[in-house]
Amino acid sequence: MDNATIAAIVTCLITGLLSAGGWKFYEAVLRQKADQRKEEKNERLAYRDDLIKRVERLEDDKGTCMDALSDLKTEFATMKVKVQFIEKENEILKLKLQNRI
Amino acid sequence: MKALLSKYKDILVYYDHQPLLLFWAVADVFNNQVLWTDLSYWTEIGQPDTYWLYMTYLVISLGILSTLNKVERCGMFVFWYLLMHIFSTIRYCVGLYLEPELEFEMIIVKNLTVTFVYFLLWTWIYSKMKMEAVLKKVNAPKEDPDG
Repeated sequence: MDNATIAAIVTCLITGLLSAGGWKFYEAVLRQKADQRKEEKNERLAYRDDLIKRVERLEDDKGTCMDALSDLKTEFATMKVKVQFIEKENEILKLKLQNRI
Repeated sequence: MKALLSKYKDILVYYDHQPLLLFWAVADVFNNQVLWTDLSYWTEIGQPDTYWLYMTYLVISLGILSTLNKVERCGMFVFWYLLMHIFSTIRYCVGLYLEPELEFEMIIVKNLTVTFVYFLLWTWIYSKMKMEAVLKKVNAPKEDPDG
């Protein structure tokens, strides 16, 4: 084997090893970045899921409150009518009492 | 001029290498001296090693053609092609350096320029393929250890 061939083989070996090492390193860097991106995405998704759950719970609470408010409005209207009648009755009773005196 | 240079950059960065690789490998197979000469021819002119060099190129070109659908394996053959190219170039350069009666000739400059362009070509193709393979590997979903 002549010197030129030996030099060529050595150069090829060095090139091959450096190339393989370089690509492995680059792959590791890309993998790390991808993992980081995935982690951030998972965090965002977890936050979104939590928000969805909270909105659902608040919607349920709102429904319950609306029902209660509706009942209260009805009761309030009933009481108002009753008070009006009582006030009128009271006026009549007052007049009756004055006439008797 | 700026648009032209920008187009060159776009071609190198964004365009695909597969058609070039396909046509190159096909041309390389049909242009390979193993198909048109035999070992005795190269032995007669005192370069029997050249026959085996061509044989290696033939095997690699056929390897490229048969694995074009698998980027990782094809990339390996392209890498071997690149290494063979580097091997031939270094051998040529060292041969020139060790030549005691070397005179400057334009043909040497031409050969080295063409070789350098080919080197860039194969490095570009290899980088593209390797990048594709690495991204594919990194973005592939991880296997669940529990099955």
